[in-house]
Amino acid sequence: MKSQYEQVFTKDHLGVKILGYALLFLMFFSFLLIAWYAPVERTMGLVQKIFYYHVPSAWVAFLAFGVVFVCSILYLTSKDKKWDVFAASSVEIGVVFVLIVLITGPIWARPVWEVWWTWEPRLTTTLILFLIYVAYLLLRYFGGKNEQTAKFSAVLGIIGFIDVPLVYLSINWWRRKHRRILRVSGWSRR
Amino acid sequence: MKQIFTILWKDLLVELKSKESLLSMFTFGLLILVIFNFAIEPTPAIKRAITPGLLWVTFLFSGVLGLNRSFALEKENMAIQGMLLAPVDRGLIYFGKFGANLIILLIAEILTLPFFLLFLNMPLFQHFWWIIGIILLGTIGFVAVGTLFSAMATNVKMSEVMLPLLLFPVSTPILLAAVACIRDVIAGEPFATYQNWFFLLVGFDMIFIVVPSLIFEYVVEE
Repeated sequence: MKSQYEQVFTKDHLGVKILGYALLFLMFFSFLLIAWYAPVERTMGLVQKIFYYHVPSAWVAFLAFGVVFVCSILYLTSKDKKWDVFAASSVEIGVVFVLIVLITGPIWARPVWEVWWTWEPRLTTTLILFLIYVAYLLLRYFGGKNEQTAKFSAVLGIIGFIDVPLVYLSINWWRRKHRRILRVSGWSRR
Repeated sequence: MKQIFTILWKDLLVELKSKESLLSMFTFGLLILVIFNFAIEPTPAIKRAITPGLLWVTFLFSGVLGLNRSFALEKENMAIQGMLLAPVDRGLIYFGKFGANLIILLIAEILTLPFFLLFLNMPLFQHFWWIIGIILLGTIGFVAVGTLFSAMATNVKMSEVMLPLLLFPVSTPILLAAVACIRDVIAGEPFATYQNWFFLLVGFDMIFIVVPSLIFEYVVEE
């Protein structure tokens, strides 16, 4: 038997349909804007346009993990399965968008920084974030579909999100020593 | 307090009788040291550079071995059921397990420590109490999260693999802060140069003792 929320959030639901088509249209529209409306950046050239995917993807990912955090708390306090479903779907969205960030980042960095990857704080934090939530998905996969898995993943959703500021802070301090070297040799050289 | 101590003592007693975790953690730690020495072939300069990192890599890796055992033992004979039936707050069970894991890992670390002096010329005795203090702080944070995740990982498939996958990304701040502190202590820097790291360690410890003790009950309840 389907529970109430499963009936609400199937793909045939009107709201889901409207949002889905709106998304499709807006994505296409934004692609047109990126391709023709946005000017070509003077120093970085065409590759800079990847920003229009890179940055919003990072926002979406962070928002998604924020949603996971809130839904995880709500799940543990209420034990309403709805919140577990929200949290799990949100992690999937977040992981996909972090992956977009991690793929588009190096594509941009190679011509501009002349390296694919540097252990820069935001980059590194994003990578750690990705690993935390990949572990979340693995936990759900290995745990099987039951209430226990829901509880475990809620716990990880909470701990993981609390951890993010600490990860950023620590990596930021870690790289502080190296930033001067980066400046001396110039962004484009490093 | 008495309940915490009872659980802690039970775990320590089991460990002291069998010495399974301690022996495997200690041997594994030594093995990591040896492997790294072969893999890197360190000159004195490289030794100085890698010692802080290698110290914590060794501790975290052997720590995971011990943490894996922590709840596996409880599960084997359904002992966790008995503990949950006892009229004790679940938070206290967490603190008991945490305390036992902490002490066992600390013993393994102290056993491994002389080999850093032997193999890597780590200046252990110049700053002995600072090094011990930082090892204590780093281990507290790691074991605090580790105890919570161990209780979770034991109950899913692939538990031995699952624990490090959960634990290592989350403990990045601990690793960085602890490595930075040890690095600066060994280099003889004044406290001011690494006080940020030191307080980050303390902060991490406090957050990740309080939060897991609050949500531990959700992990163990049936």
